[in-house]
Amino acid sequence: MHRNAVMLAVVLLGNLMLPFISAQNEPKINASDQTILTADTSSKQVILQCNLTTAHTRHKESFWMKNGQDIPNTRTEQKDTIYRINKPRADDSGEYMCVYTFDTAPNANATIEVKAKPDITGHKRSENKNEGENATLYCKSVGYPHPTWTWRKMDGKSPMELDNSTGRIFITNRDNYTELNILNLDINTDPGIYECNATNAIGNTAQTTILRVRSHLAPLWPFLGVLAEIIILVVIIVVYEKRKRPDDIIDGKTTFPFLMAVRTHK
Amino acid sequence: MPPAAATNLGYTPPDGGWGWAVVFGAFISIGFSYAFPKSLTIYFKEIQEYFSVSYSEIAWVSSVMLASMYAGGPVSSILVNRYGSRPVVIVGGVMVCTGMALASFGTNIIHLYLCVGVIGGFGLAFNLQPSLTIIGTYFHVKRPIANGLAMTGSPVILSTLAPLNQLLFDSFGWRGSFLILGSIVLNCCVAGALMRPVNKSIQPKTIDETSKCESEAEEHAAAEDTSTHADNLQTEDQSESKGHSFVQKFIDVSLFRHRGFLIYLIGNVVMFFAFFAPVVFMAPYAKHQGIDEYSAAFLLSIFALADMFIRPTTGLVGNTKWIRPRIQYFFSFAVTYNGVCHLMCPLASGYTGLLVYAVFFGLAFGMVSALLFEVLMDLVGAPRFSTAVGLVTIIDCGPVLLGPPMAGALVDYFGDYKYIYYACGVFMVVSGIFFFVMHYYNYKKLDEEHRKSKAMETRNSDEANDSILLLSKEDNISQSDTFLLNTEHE
Repeated sequence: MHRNAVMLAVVLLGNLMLPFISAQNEPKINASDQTILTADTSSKQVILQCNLTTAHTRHKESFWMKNGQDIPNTRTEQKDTIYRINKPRADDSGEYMCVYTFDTAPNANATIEVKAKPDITGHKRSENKNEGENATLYCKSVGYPHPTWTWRKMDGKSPMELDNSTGRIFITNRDNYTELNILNLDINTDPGIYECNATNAIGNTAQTTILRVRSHLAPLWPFLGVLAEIIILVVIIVVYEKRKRPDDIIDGKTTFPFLMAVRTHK
Repeated sequence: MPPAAATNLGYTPPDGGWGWAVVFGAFISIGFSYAFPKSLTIYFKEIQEYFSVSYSEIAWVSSVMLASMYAGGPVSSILVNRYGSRPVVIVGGVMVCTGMALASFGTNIIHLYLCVGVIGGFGLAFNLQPSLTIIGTYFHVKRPIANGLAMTGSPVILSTLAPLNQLLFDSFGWRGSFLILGSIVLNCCVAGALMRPVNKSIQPKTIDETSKCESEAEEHAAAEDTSTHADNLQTEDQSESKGHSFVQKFIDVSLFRHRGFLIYLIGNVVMFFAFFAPVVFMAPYAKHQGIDEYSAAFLLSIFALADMFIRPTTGLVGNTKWIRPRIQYFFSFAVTYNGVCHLMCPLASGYTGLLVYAVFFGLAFGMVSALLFEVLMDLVGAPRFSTAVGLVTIIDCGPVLLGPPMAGALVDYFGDYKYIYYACGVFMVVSGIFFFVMHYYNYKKLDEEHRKSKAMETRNSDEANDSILLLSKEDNISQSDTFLLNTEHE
């Protein structure tokens, strides 16, 4: 009886100790904290550091990954590994991971987040379309975490919510890309300045695009105008010629009588 | 004052007066003919996206237009011979306007080929030939200046149309722009209205004493031009063969037996392979060397500016008493100079080198363009010029269309632009030397024949001094024959 109680106590204690022991056997990585890139830090180098503090076995090698993709030329065999970002820009932000590989144990990794305000890199400054056609406005951005997009239309100086009562507006959002499609453009309500706004935990940016809608009849007026100018010019030239003609003909008939005689002779 | 028969026209061209208004009309017409196809390329990107076609399919629009313009040459010549310049130019202007207006409603690319390419191209052909022909009827002594001024239309209208097209495109899109361009092209009809048929029965005004020496020298030089020597011999053959067939009345196939015309034709065919390709590839070559788009476009502007300046200047120089009698040599020099420019281009390094090349090439291009039709007029004379230019343009159609694609193939094969310049330089130098040699031979032959015909004339006049009736009858027949033939063509 006494022996059973001791065995039970050992098993219980062992179970209680197990997490601590296994935790002690798991490799521990000391990683630098998350960094936020701002406009001030754009000239300073950003250094990401990982130290392997406790390891059950000797590690094989270590390397870095960004957003789930291997970064080339970062494989070393050192225990402490450093990844430097020179002149960090918005597209250097992302989820960085230092990975340690072992022969007999699974990989160990630590994640360091480098966050930045989104930066809109691609958008159209203006879009000109004819009435009834479809217009596509887009915005591309770089930065982590991925922003949420909103589209608004400027009314004077201040942005207004988009009015989709006619159901012609479709917005498609992806991680770093957004598209605003307007079908069957209406010349009265659709033209104007549209703003795409990218917001994430760090901050937000916006860019504007001007949408112009051309009427079907717009080119008709210049056409008729030029036509009128041409008709006027031709009339002037013809009238001038008709007024000069009689004088020329009189001169012509008097100079070559002998040739006229030859003609009648023939 | 040289007698009217020396010009082989049967009348003395005014060499001024309304002629300058006609030159202005020709300026507009020729300008649109050459500049219009080139300026349409601004719309191609948008149209390519709209119809979802490849780049080469869109480039075909330009090629079809150019091909129709050159192929329409003989048709244009026949119509000009029959009806005179004015109706043909007006019809041409209306055709291009209709073509562009129809194209603005186009629903597929074939529609564009037909409207812009075929109809537009033929319309432009009906503008080009008559304008050149009518200059020949209005000018003889001052013809090189008139030709130089008229040919200046091409760079001037191109520099006007290029930014205008961009503006129209931004404001109206390609459909609206085509419609408006159609109306702008109607200015050719205004130009046509200016082309009053020359009045062949007026005596020229008397010249005052101060300018007498200069104008006499010019007229003397003009009277010695190549066509008078050549044609004085052929007038007898001409008056016989004119009655032969209906077709021969309109297309003068006897031109193919004309020595000067053959020289011009052969040299031209070789030259045109290499004429336009360097212009087409100037901007891509600059970009290939790492120069940005705006500077590359600036090169083309400099080229156009040099071109614009040199054309009237060449006309003036060609009109001087030293050059006019031997203007064919001046033309050969211009062609050779062109070739030398191209051969030296690969040596140009960096942007300044290319700028220098653009200036020199612009000068060379302008010189050749200004003289291109002047020398043809000089060789065949004004009466047959219309037919001659029609034949030349249709035969030139091949080299003009094949030149740039062949150059492009060279670039693709070698991966380097300098081989285009070597090839073009060689073609131009070869044709320039060909012109030099053949015209030296031609001038010698013409001088010989001229001396023989002068000897024959003095012999004739000695014989006829015995019988006055015989002299007047012969003279009257040869003079009145040419006069009647010319009045038929009015």
